[in-house]
Amino acid sequence: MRHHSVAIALLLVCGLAFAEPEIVPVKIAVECVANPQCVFDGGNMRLEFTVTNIQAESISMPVAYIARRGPFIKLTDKKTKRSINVKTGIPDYALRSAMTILQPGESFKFHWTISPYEFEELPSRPIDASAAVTLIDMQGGDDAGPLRKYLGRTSFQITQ
Amino acid sequence: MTKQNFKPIASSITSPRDNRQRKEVLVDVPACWDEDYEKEIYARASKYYHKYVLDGTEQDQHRHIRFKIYFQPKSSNKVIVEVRLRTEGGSMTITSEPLAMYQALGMQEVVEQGLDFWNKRFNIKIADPECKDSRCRSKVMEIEYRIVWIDMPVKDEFNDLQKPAKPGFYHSKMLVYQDKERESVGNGVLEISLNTNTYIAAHEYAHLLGIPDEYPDEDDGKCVRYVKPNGSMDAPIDLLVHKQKSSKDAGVMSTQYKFATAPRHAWSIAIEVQELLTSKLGRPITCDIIQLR
Repeated sequence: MRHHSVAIALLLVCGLAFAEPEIVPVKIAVECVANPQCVFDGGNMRLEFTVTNIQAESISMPVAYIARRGPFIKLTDKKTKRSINVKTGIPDYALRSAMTILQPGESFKFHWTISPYEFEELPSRPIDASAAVTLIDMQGGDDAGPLRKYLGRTSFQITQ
Repeated sequence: MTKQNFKPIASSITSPRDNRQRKEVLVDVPACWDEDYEKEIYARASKYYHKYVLDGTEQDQHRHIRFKIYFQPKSSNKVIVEVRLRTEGGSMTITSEPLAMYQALGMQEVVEQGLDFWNKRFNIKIADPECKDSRCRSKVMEIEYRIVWIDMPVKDEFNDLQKPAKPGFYHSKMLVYQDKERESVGNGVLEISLNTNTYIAAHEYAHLLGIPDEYPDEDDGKCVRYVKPNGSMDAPIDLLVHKQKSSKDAGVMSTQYKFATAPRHAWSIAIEVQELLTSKLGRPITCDIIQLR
C-alpha cells in the first residue's frame, strides 16, 4: 500500500528541508499495565505497546532500537489544552543492526513508562489528559534504498 | 574616608613640584575581581536555549534548572559547577518496594564517572574591558564540574523546587530504579536505573545544567537554538534527523556513545558567571568558552 506523504514546509526559523519519504503504516496499540482504565495514581504509569505489521508483505523493524528509544507521546491537559512531550530515550544506533522481520499480521511488544514528574507538568488536578502516541521509524535513503517512514498512531485517555 | 579623597587612576599630577609637596596620593582603582563569589542558580531552561516546532513557533520550556556556581579566582582559580543530589531507590509502582538503598548508592560511582567526561574539557574566558588594572582585563579559568551527595531534606516539602536551593539542600533527587526503559531529567529529579552507563550519566548530568537534547525526541519536527553568552541566538541545531555516530554533527547530546562536544555545552555556565560578576562588580563583564578537548 502506497501513501502519498505530505511535503513539509521549509522552516524560516530552522532553515531546514526534509526529504519526502514513502509512508508505510503500522498498527500500534497501547495498554496500561495492570491498570485498564489508565488511572494515574501518583506513581509511574507503565504502558505496553503492540506494534503489528498491517501490510500485505513482510517488513523489517529494529525492535530493540525502538524498545530503547520509545514512542513519541504527547500529553494534553483536556481543560487547559497545555501539552507536554514525554521524553524519548537517546538513540543507540548500534541496535539498528538487528532487524526483526515481521510477517503480515505479526506483532512485537515493548514497554514504556511515563514518570510521575511528567504528569506534574500538566496544570489541572485531578489529572485529565489525552495521550497521543506516534511511532516513527525511518529506514532507507541514499544508498540504502528508498526512504521509508514506518508510521503508527494511537491515543488513550488518562484520568486520576 | 570618602570617595572624594580619591583621584581617578591615571589622572594624578606627577610634576616634580607636586611630588615634593605630597606625601601620598590616593588613587581610585576599580575593584579587580580577586574575590571569590558564589551563587545558587534557579532559571527557566529557556534562559539557555529555545526549541521550535515545525510551524516555526517556540515551544514553552517550562522546566527549571537548579545548580550552584562558585567563582574562585582567589582560592582555586576555577569556576566550580556544583550539582547537589539526594539518592533514593525508585519504585516502579506506588505499591512496590523501592530499590534497596545500597543498590541505589552504588550508582553514585557511575554518575561521578560521568563527570570525568566534562572535567578538563572547558575553560571560561572572562573579559573586563572597563577595568584599568591590567591584572584583570582578561582571565582564563578552568571549569570544574562536581556532584555533592547529600541527605537533606528527608521530606520533599522542605525543598521548594520553584526557588533556588537552600544551602545544604539538594538541587535534584536521583531516583535509581531496578530497571527502566530510559533515563531522564525533570524538575528536581534525575531518573536512572541499575543499567545506566557512564555515557548516559554524562548526558543526563548535562541536562541538570540546562543543556538540551539534540536528537528528535518529539514527533513534531523542530530545531533547538542555544543562547550565547552575548545574548544572541546560535545557529539552529537540526532535530529532524537522527545523527549517526559517523555524522559530523553527532555529539554527546544527540547520539549514544558519541563523545563530541562544542562550546555551546558550557554556555549556560558562561551566562551565569557573566551575570554574577556583572552584578557583583557593577560593570559589564563578558564571558566565553574555550573547549580544550
